Amino acid sequence: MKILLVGNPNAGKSTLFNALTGGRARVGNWHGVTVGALCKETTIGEKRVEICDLPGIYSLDSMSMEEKLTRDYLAEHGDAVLFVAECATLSRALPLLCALKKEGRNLALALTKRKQFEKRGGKLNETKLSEELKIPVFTAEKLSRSALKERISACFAMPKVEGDAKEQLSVRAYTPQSNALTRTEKLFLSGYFCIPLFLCILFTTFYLTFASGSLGDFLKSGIENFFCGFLAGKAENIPSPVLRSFLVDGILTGTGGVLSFLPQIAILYLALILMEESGLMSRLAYHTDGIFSAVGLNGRAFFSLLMGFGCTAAAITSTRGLDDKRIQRRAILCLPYVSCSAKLPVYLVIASSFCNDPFPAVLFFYALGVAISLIVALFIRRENPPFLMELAPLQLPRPLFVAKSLCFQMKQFIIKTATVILAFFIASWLLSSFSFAFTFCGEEESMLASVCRRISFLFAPIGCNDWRIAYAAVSGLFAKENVAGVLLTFCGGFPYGAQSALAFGAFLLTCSPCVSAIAACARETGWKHAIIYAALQTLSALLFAYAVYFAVTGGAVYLAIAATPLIGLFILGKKKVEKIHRKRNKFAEKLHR
Amino acid sequence: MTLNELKRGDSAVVLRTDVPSPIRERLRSLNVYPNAKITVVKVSPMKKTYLLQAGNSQVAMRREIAAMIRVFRT
Repeated sequence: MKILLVGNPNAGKSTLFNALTGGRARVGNWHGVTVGALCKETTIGEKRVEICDLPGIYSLDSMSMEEKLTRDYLAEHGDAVLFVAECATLSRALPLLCALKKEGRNLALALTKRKQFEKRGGKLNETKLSEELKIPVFTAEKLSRSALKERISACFAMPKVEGDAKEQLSVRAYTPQSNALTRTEKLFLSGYFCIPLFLCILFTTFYLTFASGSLGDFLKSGIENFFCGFLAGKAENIPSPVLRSFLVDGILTGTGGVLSFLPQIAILYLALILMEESGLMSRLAYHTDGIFSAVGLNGRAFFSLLMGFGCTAAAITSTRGLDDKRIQRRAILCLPYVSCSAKLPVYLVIASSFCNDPFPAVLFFYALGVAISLIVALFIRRENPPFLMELAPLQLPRPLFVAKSLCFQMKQFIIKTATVILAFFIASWLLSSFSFAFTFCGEEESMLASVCRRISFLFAPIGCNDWRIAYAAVSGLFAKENVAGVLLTFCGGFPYGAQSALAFGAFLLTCSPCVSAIAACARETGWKHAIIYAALQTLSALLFAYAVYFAVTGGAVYLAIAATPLIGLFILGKKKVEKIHRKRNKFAEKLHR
Repeated sequence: MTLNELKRGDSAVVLRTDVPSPIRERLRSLNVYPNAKITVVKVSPMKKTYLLQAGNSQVAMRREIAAMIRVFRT
């Protein structure tokens, strides 16, 4: 026997399917999640029954792909239909239900989301509903798998009642809920409340994650100490220096490095999940939309950008939640310019070479990064996608769901990036511990150092024609913290004076992010794009660094003179393109009419 | 009149949605379809974003889409 699950989109069919069969149908709080019929067998009572989850539809006569699919499926299989409807939208689902009843099918109704409905003042009576609709009715909320199966077999075992279902339900059977806004909802609709609340949450999260002595920092040091201290100590007993170096400097440092920033990423993700589950995120997206539409982003992208202050790789992975690919791509392009937490030690080293108090200089770099990020967003070609969003219901986050989501996200992050990062760490160890003759040696004679000697000319225009600076920059490709480490170990700080320091800082600000971020980007947009972006960013970073050096060593006036007509041309060119686009849109509209 | 001409607190009935097909499907799932009743809950300061109550959903949309939805004010 086959039971087909039919109903409106987002009614809870797939959730019911998963509960019944233990299947893993994709569930999501939006329209269009299920595409195509998903069938799975299970045992109900004594019999083997096949349950089929169909895409949600509104009626049997519209032309959309899902409706056609369900209609065809229904026509082929005249089996039992379990109609799944959300209590709040039952009246909207009735026409479809009545149409199915008219066809004389074996029908039963499963109601979902009843608690939400009754909380808002809705009332329904299953017995009366069953009488008026002439089919068995039950509530599917919070039932265990066995209870569900029992109800279903009871429903389909009952004799069919002939006759059409009533299209208009009486008040005794069904009273709709009140859709008036509660006081809490009105509160969250106020931007004056939401945005300060959001800033508080943000500040708390960042404090918990990055402040020294906080939970995130504590866990990070704990893991680092375990790998690079304890385990490395154990490895001291290994006789072979190559193997020891491989284990300690390659694997342990690599793994330790990767795993150590997991707790911080977990805290950031937790905050993100809590805000999404509670409905706060969608309200924030609504409040901040006005500002962000100016740069072609939206409020949800905003949070991903903020995560960029912590870790670019985690921020890129979090853009997956954005359901518009164009916005996601734009967010990914802007993200690297928001300085991640690993760049902080580098800025400190550079700044302390020319200031007594490095704090203002660091702040300057961060601010510059944000500004560049916004400019990049502005100037990438954009076709403003239509903004249409449903505000998620305001609710207290469900602990189990939050825990499951967090575990899922962390697993995704580990699988997607950790393996790549480890591979790169080992490669980096190889390149910096062996010379071209494949002898084990110190860093100064290694392959990487030789390569850096060749490319050190790239840094000549900023006054640092030094392989150690190039080496620092290249090591930054693997992990930005390495730059600080290299600068301190090989040069004891930054040895070239304030102007070069500024230029080098500008380079670091705008160059490609570390391999974990590139790997995360590759998972979202493919390796080809990720590598192209990384290459373009590094190239533009070099040019930007040259420009900055030129400007601060007295050429600022010339730069300004050269830049003004260029900027003017650019803006004019953009306006022209916009005009053409607008004309095209008007023409398309006319055609539509 | 179109939806973007409504003011905060106005109720209306949707007449037509002159939007491309995927957006029309989306609007429909958000309870915005011909003969549906809607109420304008909030309009952003620059009239850029409109927040509506449509059935049991709260829907936010930008002016471009709001301008393509024909309504009858009640």
